[in-house]
Amino acid sequence: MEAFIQLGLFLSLLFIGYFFGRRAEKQHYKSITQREDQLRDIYLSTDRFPTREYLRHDTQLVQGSVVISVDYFKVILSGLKNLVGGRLTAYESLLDRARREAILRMQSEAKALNAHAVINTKFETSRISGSAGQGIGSIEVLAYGTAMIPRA
Amino acid sequence: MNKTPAPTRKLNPKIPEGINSSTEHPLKEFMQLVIGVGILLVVLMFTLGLLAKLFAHHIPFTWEPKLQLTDTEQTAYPQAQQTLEELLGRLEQAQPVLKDATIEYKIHLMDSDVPNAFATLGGQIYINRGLLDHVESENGLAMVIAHEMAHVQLRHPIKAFSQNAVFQLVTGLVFGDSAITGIASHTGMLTFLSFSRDMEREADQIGLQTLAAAYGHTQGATEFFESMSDDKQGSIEFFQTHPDTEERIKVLTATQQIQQPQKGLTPLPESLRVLREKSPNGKEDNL
Repeated sequence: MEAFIQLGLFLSLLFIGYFFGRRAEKQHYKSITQREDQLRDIYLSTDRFPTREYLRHDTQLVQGSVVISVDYFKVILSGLKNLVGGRLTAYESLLDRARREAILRMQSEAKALNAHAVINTKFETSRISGSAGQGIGSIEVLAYGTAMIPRA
Repeated sequence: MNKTPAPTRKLNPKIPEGINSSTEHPLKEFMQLVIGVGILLVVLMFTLGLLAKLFAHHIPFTWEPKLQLTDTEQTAYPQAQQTLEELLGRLEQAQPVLKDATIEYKIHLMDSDVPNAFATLGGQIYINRGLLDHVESENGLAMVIAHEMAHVQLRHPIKAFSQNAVFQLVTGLVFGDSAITGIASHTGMLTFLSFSRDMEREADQIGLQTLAAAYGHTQGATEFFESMSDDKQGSIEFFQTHPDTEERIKVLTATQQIQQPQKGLTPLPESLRVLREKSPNGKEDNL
């Protein structure tokens, strides 16, 4: 009896994780592609030094940061995958979303400053979950760079 | 070159999708993994369980008390306890195939109304006070004790314990729980060690032989089971752990060699009789 309750709890958690996680992911990707189109004119580059067209621009640090959490379904899926090895596709999409969202937030900040481009773009990732030894909890992705703002 | 840089602002290219993330449906991967790992797990459990069962009886009996995590408390009925010990001693003499001389039995009278008896590691045999309501004669009680002794002699507790430990270990390893705490918390509840139907049948046979050797006949052997199957309402716990009582009565009755049926039953000793609650005088109340 107790075992059935535990199994039911597990399955409903799994379903909740799957349903909401999947829905959130779909909506997020939709919003990401939409905003990427809107912010296409904030040019991104990883060059450390400004190219010729930005030589007379002001510079300022811009950054975008995202904290993402894993849903229960992805935890179980990756737990199973841990046994056999291979691509953890469940986490890949999660981190893909986080990176792109971080870039978008950085671009939004640059746009608010009327910048034309962001150079020297870099990423940082850190784990911020307090759940020691319990696998991945939450991860922060930070994108930062130098905004090139034309002088008035 | 350009005096007005604004119109020639560079644009970010559109990134192709599906490079850094998979477009495959996650459920497909999930099902593949569940089925694959499930099959693997079942095979692993089965083989390890079988190995545990095969090799468990090679574990020396003297190790068993060390595995026992529960402490046995003092009995509330010293007189009845002594009577039980005497009965146990007589049955031990009568027991047919004593393969392992290191096996020692300890009997405990538990102050519980639930009619049940069980054997665990270290030759510990527990008789609940409630069981006394369901036997009419010493023979009936002796059969229960002989049955539990047979479990111990056949090393059933250590087999069940080993299988349980293997099960805990595998699930612990796979699902990431601390395997050690899993073993400690689950197999620590030794009262819930359950024996298979084959084990029960085996123990019935040896128990019956013991009974025949001790009393010269096997009358009263089915007393407890018969009383229990008449009183199903009050003994749910018993039937959860002993599902095929009806069948066992049949088998027992069939294999009974009632050579001297007139010899009669030995009455229950007085010290045990006083512990009976409902029906101190006879069968009527139970039926």
